[in-house]
Amino acid sequence: MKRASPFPDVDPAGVPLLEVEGLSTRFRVPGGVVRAVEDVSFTLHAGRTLGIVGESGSGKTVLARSVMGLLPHNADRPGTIRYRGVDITGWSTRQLVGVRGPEMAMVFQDPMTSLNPYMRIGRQITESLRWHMGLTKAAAASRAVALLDEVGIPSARLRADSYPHQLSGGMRQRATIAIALACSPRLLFADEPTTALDVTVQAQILDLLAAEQREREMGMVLVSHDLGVVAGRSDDIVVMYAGRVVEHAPTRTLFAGLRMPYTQALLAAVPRLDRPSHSRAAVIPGRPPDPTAIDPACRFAPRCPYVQARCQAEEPPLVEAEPGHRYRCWYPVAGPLPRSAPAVSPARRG
Amino acid sequence: MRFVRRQLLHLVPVLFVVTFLSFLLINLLPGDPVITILGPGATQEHVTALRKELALDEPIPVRYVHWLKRIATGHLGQSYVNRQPVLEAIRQRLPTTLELMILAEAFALALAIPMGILAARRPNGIFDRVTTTTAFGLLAVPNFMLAVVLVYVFALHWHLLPAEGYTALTQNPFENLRHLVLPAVTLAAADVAVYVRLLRSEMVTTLQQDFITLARAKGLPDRRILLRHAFRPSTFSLVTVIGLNLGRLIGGAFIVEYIFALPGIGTLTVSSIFNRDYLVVQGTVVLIAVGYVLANFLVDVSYSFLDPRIKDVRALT
Amino acid sequence: MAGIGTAHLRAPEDALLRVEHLVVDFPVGRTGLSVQAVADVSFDVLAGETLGLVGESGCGKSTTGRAVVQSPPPTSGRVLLDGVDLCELRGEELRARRPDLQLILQDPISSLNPRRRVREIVAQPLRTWHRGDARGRAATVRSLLEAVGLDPGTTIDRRPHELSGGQCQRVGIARALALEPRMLICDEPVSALDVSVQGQVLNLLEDLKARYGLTIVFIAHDLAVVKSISDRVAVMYLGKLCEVGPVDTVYASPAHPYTDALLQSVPVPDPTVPPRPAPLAGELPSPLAPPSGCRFRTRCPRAQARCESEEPVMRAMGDGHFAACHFPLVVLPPVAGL
Ligand SMILES: Nc1ncnc2c1ncn2[C@@H]1O[C@H](COP(=O)(O)OP(=O)(O)OP(=O)(O)O)[C@@H](O)[C@H]1O
Ligand SMILES: Nc1ncnc2c1ncn2[C@@H]1O[C@H](COP(=O)(O)OP(=O)(O)OP(=O)(O)O)[C@@H](O)[C@H]1O
Ligand code: SF4
Ligand SMILES: [Mg+2]
Ligand SMILES: [Mg+2]
Repeated sequence: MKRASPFPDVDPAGVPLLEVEGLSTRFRVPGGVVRAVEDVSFTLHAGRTLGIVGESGSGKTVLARSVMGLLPHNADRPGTIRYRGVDITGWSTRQLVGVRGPEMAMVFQDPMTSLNPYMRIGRQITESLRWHMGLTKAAAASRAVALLDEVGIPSARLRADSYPHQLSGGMRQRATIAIALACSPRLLFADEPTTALDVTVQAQILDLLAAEQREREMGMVLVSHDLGVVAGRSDDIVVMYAGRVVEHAPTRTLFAGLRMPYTQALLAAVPRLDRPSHSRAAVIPGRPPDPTAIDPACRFAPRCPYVQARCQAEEPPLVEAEPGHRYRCWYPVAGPLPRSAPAVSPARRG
Repeated sequence: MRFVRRQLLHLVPVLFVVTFLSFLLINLLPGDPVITILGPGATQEHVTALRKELALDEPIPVRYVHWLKRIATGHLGQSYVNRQPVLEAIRQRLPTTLELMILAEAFALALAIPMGILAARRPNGIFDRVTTTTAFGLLAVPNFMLAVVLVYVFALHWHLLPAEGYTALTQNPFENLRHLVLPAVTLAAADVAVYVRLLRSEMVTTLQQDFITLARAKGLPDRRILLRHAFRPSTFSLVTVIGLNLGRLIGGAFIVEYIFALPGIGTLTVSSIFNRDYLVVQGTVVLIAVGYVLANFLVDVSYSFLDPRIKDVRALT
Repeated sequence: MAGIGTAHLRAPEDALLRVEHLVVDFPVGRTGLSVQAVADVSFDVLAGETLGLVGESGCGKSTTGRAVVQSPPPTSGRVLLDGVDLCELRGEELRARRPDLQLILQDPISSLNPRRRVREIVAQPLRTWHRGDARGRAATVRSLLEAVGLDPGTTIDRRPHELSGGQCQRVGIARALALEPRMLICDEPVSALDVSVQGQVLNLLEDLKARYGLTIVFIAHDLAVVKSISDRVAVMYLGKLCEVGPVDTVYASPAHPYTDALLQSVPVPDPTVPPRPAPLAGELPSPLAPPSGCRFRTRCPRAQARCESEEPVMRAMGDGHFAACHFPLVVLPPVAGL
């Protein structure tokens, strides 16, 4: 017997899958308060993908975990989270147990540490099937094998009996995807699902996620530090810097008409195959600010090439200057930097 | 299999060292079994004759070699005092001691495991702080004192349990248990404290692992995460310490048996030492050494069951 | 990759570093088995050239780099620095050669001693080699720090954990430069850094190369990073070399199917370029049991029966461009390999 769901069977038309409003996440640590996520808002509809990009430490993982309520005890999380129209912000762990799994699931950053090394792969899948869907042991086992097969693990029946250390990195990541998909979630957080993997395997895993999403009409939050990974695979992009959203726009708009100097610098810094060798890399001088500091200034000001007095005195608000395109800057730019050198055609594409 | 053989081979040098040392120590103690047997008024001829008969006139190393030879043919010899074969004496007393130790460890684990898990659930929470304090309190109380208090409260004051003595398990299981409760609790107290602390700190570390967050992301309830995901990976130091702890447990059992007048290996060893009954003492020493090595062998084997990665490594070697 | 052979090597007297038939075996546990992490790899680097070495995790890039600096020395093969085979040298003779050849490691923070200050870290090779007196060494340290773009005033008394990843990598580079090496082997020097900082270190290496006339072997798994800094590129797969050539040629028209797949797998930060389906299925086979013939054949879209039975050998694919493949992606010039 399937557990009773706290959500309506059919969502009223137009209600977004996920609405996050003014979400902040702070950790109380001995030296003060780490403001890992500050005042983040976004909306995600079923079947769509939201890309979240930012450098290491910008708060991407904390944001995803905050929505799922997976924070340690030293965290505070003001803000509102509405899932399928229901406000789940204040829900207790006990209530969230029904949400995680069949409603929201997550693929973790590092496939080497996110599987339980003491449990067979099959068990790690059947466990949630039996708990959430009330399947019998046999039914859960055959469903688990089907899932492993679906995510492209060869001889899935055999592999279900393997322990994680007996699989390669790519296979482990496939297994964690199978675990996440087990209860057919409506919303999937993919937290840098390919960062620990090689490029050839990365392409396979991203294809797999895209195919599963299409098939299930699943909403997806795709987290990455690599603009290349999210560019071709998300409908909207949120750029994070030091815990804040600094730019938020539909993907094409963002790449064609970005406004935030940070996004511009980040895009220019990505090493690209279509630049000739020995072309000078664009750099962002300095490094991100200390997450415990609070000062009334643009967080990017110390590194921004366009900085002016106002940037250091007042933090710019996130404004929606064009419909659907938000950014946080007093002196927005007009788009990406022109390529420093004429584009050489990339490697011959078969 | 290779692994098992290696472990058993390990036993041989341990036995040599341990038995030789104990042989040396007990023979260096002042006193003489012949006097004990014959009484203080015995004539010199009697003493010399008995000495010769028991082969006590030879130097210590020679006697040790004699003893080794005999043991190699499976004979542990017999008591000088009452001529009871050593093996027989051990067979009579072993069940009591084993029962006492197993019961004590069972009590200790039955209490420590749930307490450790609950304390780790919220580190520095109220429950955690209370168990920490209690654990240190228990560690600070010596077990003979605890025994006195327990006997006073449960036996003398409330008359719930007998203060001393023993009934065999085969005779009357219920009475047997009643007699063993207080000794076992006395013996368990310090272990509970150690085990709770160990399990708690390993659980806290395990609970910060990514795979626990993944289990939470799967929507499993807390109880299941603690028991199914976090417990097993957190038992390594616990299992190791249980094995190493056996020595302390045996020492503790000797004292506790003595206090509660239980007819176990402990009382046997203690009285044999007083009587300079060398062969009985040697017999119990062999028993303890074998028991110790076997227990730690079991601990080593259990690692493979606890962690599948170890099993794979062992299969390779 | 597949291949063996030395057709791609240039005249020995031109090369600063020439590696021939390099083999590195590692024992596996106590099983008596061994992994051939590097299996007959040859390459050369001319003075002033930068060679990029790319390939997937576990293909033997780091092992190759370490074998070149003889720590540990290779199982077999020759490593000629300026015509002298380092593998033949022993003890003091080898030690005397070490300053010429410096290795920079991937993890910027853990490759520095956490208890030492920056000044001690950078001065350490100078002390070990008795270069200059205390005053002279202090001056050298300052100028090295300036050369790698660190402000000596603020950084010289810090310890590694008080620096960012990019700054630590700069300290590591300053230390490697202290003995004025002729050649740097950089093992994934920017892989642990964010893109924003990556560029700083890459530009620094380019500047230093120009300033000190360095020769660099640059190991990385990121193809775009390798392209940005290299003159020539060598692609490795499962302990073997697949393809070598001028970087622009190889990237524009890869001859080996593996190089092609690698290039196609790199996502492009441009939403108007739709992502292509993954070009390769499966993952790197275990180096314990490498496939027969061409090691890439189990994943290769062009593999045929011959690839299973016969190991391909390096052949010329164009000007200075070589690949070890029976069925390469380029149309071979009529007089191949001559
Ligand atoms: N439990 C915690 N206690 C205190 N600070 C934390 C905790 N978890 C994360 N942080 C801090 O929050 C900030 C954001 O971290 P987060 O892991 O979200 O970064 P990220 O964008 O996912 O980076 P990466 O690309 O490296 O994964 C960092 O400064 C981090 O140190
Ligand atoms: N000390 C060692 N003992 C045994 N095997 C080793 C040892 N060092 C490396 N190997 C093996 O040799 C192979 C090549 O390893 P190497 O570190 O050179 O790869 P790599 O290309 O540098 O990979 P990465 O990108 O992950 O750094 C791997 O299969 C590895 O497991
Ligand atoms: S075509 Fe053959 S030789 Fe060439 S890469 Fe593929 S398998 Fe190797
Ligand atoms: Mg993260
Ligand atoms: Mg490496």
